[in-house]
Amino acid sequence: MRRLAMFGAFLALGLQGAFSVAQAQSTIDEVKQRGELRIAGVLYRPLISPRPSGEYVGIDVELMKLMAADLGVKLNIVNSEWATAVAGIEAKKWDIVPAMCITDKRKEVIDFSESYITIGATLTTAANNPKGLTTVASFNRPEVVFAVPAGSWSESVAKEVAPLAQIKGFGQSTSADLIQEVVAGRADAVVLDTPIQTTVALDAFGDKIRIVPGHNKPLDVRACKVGYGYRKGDTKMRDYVDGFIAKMRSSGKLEALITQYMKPDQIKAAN
Amino acid sequence: MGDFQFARIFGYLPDFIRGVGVTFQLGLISASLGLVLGLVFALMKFSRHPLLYWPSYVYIEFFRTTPPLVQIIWLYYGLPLLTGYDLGAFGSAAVALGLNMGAFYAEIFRAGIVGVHRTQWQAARVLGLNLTDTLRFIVLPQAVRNVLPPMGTTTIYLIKDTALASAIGTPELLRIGQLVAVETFRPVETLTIVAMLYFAVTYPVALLVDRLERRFKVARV
Amino acid sequence: MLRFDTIVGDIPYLLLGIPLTLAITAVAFVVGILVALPIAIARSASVPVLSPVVRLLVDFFRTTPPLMHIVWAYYALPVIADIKLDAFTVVAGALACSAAAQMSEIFRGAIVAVPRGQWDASQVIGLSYAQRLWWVILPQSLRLIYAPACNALVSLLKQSSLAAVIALPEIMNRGWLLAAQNFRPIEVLTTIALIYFVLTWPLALLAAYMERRSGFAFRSD
Repeated sequence: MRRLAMFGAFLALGLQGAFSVAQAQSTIDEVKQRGELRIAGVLYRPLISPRPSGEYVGIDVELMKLMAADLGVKLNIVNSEWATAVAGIEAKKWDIVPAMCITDKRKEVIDFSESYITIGATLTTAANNPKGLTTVASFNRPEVVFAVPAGSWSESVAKEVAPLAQIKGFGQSTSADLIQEVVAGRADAVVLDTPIQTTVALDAFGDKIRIVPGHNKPLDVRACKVGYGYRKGDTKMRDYVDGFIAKMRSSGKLEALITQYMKPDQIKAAN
Repeated sequence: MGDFQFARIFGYLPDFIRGVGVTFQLGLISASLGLVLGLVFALMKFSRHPLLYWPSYVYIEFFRTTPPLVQIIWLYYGLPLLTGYDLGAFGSAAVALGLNMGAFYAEIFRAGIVGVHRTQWQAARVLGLNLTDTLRFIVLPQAVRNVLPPMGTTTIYLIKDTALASAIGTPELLRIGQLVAVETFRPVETLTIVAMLYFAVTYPVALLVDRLERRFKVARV
Repeated sequence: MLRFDTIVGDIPYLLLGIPLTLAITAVAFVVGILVALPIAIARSASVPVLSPVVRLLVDFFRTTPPLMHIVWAYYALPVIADIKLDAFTVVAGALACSAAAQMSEIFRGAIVAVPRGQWDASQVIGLSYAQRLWWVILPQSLRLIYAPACNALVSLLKQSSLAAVIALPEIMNRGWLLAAQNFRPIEVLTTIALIYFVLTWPLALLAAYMERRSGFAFRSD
């Protein structure tokens, strides 16, 4: 019995030791040692989204495949939600969170790469919504309910633009799910980025919705600079990832992928 | 509200079948783990030694009163954070559900053993049987007959929790259904098919368990 | 690594989810009982009054996951029938169906367990079927119902956590939102587990106490 306890103590010490040693290494070295690059499988069309077959598709998926090949390792996409994406970096569930908007709040806990795409925000409501939501200011009332994925950039936009409004936080969900909430009358507003999600929304829902200030007219609120999130203080990682993005830009690969994927039908559904 | 495109959803049948497979595996592995844990902790709880009794008590009470959803998500994010070991979505769900089921099974085992009347033990002693033989020939056979009905119904009840694994992305049936619904914009057809698949898979098992229960049900006055 | 002090200030926010959690549980429980009782009575009488459709529905809700019912009712129902239920109704309703299916089996078992002699004797003294049922049989079947009903209540309390996936701000959902804000899912989840434990444990103890009193040695869901 005592021997068992001692063995348990040694095991715990050993694990603790292994853990703190790993802490000192850069993510890049860990990835190479492991032979696997792990990224958080969040849902943000068209950058990254899961398919029923289990594979992921999107701009970031392509970029990450290239990064994995560059590092000479496998790519492993681990399912995640926005609510826990950042925590997962600390928990070492993944090395990178792709498709992440760079916000000050997140920067307190993790580091970001350079931004590779920038998007703006709009507010969308149902066309027949009775609460008179025609101007941005009108959304900032306690009786207005926003439907957002918990922990996402949409949530932070909603809080910044309409601090008095209520927030309904969902798990992993697409913009279509959330617009459906609004159309069904169970929420009043949704934050969509423009021009991607708004294009898809208008395409799918037409005149059932109203976009404020308007399609292709982003709000004044901070835009979403999309970058890759990784462990804080990992300078080697930062150098590598920024270098990688620069390479993708200069070689024209980034541009090519954006053109390929940022089309409404790509974003909407695989037919 | 008219046009339903069931045909299109049927195109995803391979994915659905794979999801059923994962659900099945998840159920099997967590039930097996639960059986082992249940037996171990049930026996531990019989002991009078505090180092055996109290961990068992805490384990059983804790895992029976907290929601399995919380347990699953906790394991998924907590284990890597605390120990650096990552079981992945399937592993975390399997272990969490196994721990959950183990707590329920432990109580059933205990009740089953306690349910064997004291006179049986006394009679065995009078006959001069040692502990091993007593257990093997007298007590355990009766205990097993006692536990089978509640085990069956509890298992059916707990197997439904495999759907919770979808919350951490385990590719079981509900998750596959949600992904298909998202991709095809057809929640009605997709989720209805998922419902029918769940029923088709679990109903036969439930019938089996019901029959088992009828056969082994101890008469009560 | 684990910093519980960071979330101490947010505990009130989590606790504010308790009323909703309790409300879901209470509604599902009451509705479940109201639906289960007639079904159980009809089935125990083994009169083929009960249409096969009802039998199928009971089996369906007994064997398929409540989470799936919730997802279906929330996402598919609006498209099929233009019924846009709010999150509370969906969760309470789905859990009520599940609970009703479960409890109809329990009630049936309890009614059937009342000795036939009771039926005969009460018929001899001239009571009608309904009178027999209400004044003689049901009160005696209660003895076997208390414990499983308590367990059903505990399960419902835990299952209320499923409401999180459709953004109803009960305990679990609030935890989700909080974890998204402070990036500390483990601390939040542990706190939530404790909250659920505090809510359910008294009920679990009550159920155990009633089980002992009713002399029914084993739990059957």
